[in-house]
Amino acid sequence: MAGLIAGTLATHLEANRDTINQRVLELQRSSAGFAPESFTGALRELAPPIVAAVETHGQGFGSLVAQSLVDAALELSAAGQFDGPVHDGWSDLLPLLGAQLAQEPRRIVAAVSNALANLARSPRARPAQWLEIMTGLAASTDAATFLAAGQVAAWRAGMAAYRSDALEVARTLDADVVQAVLGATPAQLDELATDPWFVPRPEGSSPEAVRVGSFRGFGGPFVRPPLLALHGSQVVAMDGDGEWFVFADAFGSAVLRAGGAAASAVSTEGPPPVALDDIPEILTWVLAPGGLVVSSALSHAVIFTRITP
Amino acid sequence: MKRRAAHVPEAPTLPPEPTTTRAFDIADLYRGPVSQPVEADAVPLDEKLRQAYFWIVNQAIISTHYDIEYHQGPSPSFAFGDSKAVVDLPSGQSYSSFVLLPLLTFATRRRCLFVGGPGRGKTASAVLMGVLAGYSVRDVRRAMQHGHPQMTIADLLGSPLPSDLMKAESSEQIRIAWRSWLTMRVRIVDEYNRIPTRTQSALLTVLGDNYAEMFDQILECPDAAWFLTANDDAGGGTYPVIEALRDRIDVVVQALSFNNRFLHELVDRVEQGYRPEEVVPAQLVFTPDELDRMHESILAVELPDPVRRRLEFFASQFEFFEPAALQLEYMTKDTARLAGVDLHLLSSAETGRDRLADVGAQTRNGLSVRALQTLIVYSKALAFFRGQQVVGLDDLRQVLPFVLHDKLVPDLDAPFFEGAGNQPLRVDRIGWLRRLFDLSCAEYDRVDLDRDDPVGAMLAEFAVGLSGVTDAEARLRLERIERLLATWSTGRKLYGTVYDDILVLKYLHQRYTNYLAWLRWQG
Repeated sequence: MAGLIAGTLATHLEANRDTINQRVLELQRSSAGFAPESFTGALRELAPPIVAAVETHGQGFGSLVAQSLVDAALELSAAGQFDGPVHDGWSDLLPLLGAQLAQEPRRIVAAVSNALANLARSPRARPAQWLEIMTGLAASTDAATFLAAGQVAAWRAGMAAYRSDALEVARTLDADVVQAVLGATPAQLDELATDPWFVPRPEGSSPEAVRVGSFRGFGGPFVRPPLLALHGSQVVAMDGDGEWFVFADAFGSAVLRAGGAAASAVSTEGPPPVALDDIPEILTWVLAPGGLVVSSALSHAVIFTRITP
Repeated sequence: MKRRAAHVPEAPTLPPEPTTTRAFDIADLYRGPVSQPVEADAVPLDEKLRQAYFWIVNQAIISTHYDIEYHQGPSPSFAFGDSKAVVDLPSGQSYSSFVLLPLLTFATRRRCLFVGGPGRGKTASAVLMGVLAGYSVRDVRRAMQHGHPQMTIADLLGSPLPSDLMKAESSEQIRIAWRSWLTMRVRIVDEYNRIPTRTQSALLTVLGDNYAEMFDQILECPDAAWFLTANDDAGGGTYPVIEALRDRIDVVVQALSFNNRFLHELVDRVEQGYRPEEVVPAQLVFTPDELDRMHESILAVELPDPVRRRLEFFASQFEFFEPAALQLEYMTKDTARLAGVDLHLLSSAETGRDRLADVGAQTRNGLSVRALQTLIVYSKALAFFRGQQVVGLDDLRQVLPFVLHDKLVPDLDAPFFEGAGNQPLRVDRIGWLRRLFDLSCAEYDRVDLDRDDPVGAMLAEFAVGLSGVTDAEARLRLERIERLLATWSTGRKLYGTVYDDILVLKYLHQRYTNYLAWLRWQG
């Protein structure tokens, strides 16, 4: 019968009924966005197959996972983030993670939920790709490997700001896991590190230029065409209202607030060392590891090219 | 509500300023709306201490008195009433002294006295500290010593075993059944001013020297945080507190009144039938190892020279009392006190000194070494609590009134207290001490000691060592000392700060003189 909770989950809910009811009441009082129906829906539809998957790995694990699922469902419902990719993660991925959940119930539930919530918030990230990669790893990894691979997969799924950290994590993973996540052999990791536009898969290719950011009125970060500078090897864009780190590589792009990075950033003006006929009225340019990066008086985007002088 | 009381404030309780070097971290991928399990070592000890503070202040004691103010940038300010009482809205994270100072005492294993009327949470706060140290509420309550007029030394320390009393041929053979509270890491003495004088002396030995003695038997007690309470610390207890015991108390904290807007919290507690100390979250309890590490970390906090110099300058102003002697070394308030002569009787002979500007004229005594050490420890503890590695001037300024509350006795007949707006400072000891320190810092800035401190330079030169200093160099230094003293001696009034510096110059002169004699002996 649809919607009827049974088994270990039902036993756990029955045993902790007063506590859970009390927490729901508190969240209703303290959290304006808390949606009880979202919470009960998750318990009815999403949690049972996850608990059932864990129980195949032994007696007693189900109750621990049930507790973690209830806690996480309450927190996600209070934050109003139990939809979209997070919902997909609970319905499609968590039921495949019985082994990992038996090892680290709370950590795995939180990691999958939070990762998908963060991917969903990042404009150019691809949560569906992350889910696909991690689904492929579900049967062959333990909890620690799964979590490490998830960080690399986030980079692969478009979170370009994680590039250098993800490469470090990737070097600690087995070759088959690296292959599953990045489509690269361990030997190709060096190439990935030196060339941001390198695509390991044979069929892959990078575009000649990538435009990152747009006018704030259209949902972008910049109020006016930005000026560029380098902070170390990192591209910094300044529009007079703030400073941003701008990332772009073969897997994706991102713009993150940088605080006062411009204070120590090295700015460049004047014509670029190579003529860029396709980009009129160049404002500033910097030479980043992947090639020339320019801004134009006629655009609110930062333009990453693969051109090196 | 009981469940809400178990809520632990989320870290970081004191978010750091955004850094520019790293705006992204791959670990952030797994941070989000769902909280991760917390590992025991994952929470730094200063963060844990702050979590304990915020849990107490928001869930347990409910103190709305944020009297330890920190400002980071402009803070709005408003004036109220005929007295134009100023209310600042601090722009930095600020604290309630009634909760913060006991926590710092807990972390530094010092001695804290709660004062204030009955029912203001003094004993409850002390019990909370015991629970934070890992003891059960029942153990803490059983171990609490309740002062009363019939309290004997045996009540306080323990009793000799009756069988040993019968059989023993010497006092060493008498074993003592020591009271268990003596070996706890948190010790609480409720209403200590109701303890008879003789028993107070036994308490002094435990509190001051960390051992108990009975029938020639000694019990060495571990370091512990002490919490004492008194309904009326101004002499209203059953027995006067002996001066030595009072002097051993490191901080005095006043329990302020309950804000009645929070009555609903009390209603919840009554209806749910629980006390805050019974629901202390397990994450906030410190293990003995954590307490040891926290103590070490606090002592490792640096006290930088500029802050130390201001403390030196402040402390140097109180002991000096020119009319007390003819010889410089004895011109102190202590000389007059030992002679039993009233300071005012002697000060009538003073001429020319500006007693209004001289902050030393506002007190009847000077500062002891113990008081200064306590100030240093609590300044470090507050800096540690705020997640700092270095003590700031604000940290010193904030702890100073609570440490010197019973250490620096105001001379209520001093001209300062007659000044416009200063009359309330006769009774507001915290406000007076804070003003005293501010006046001292203003004077320090006026004489520009950060940039022009010849005595400091001479001390630094001497601290390098005498090895390799030639006869000519030593004579040059002696000449510089004499020249500085000569400059100061012409038409300059003596104040405490100058007095201390003159004594330092005399000390240095003597060291160089002896060094020269040694050089001559060496040939």
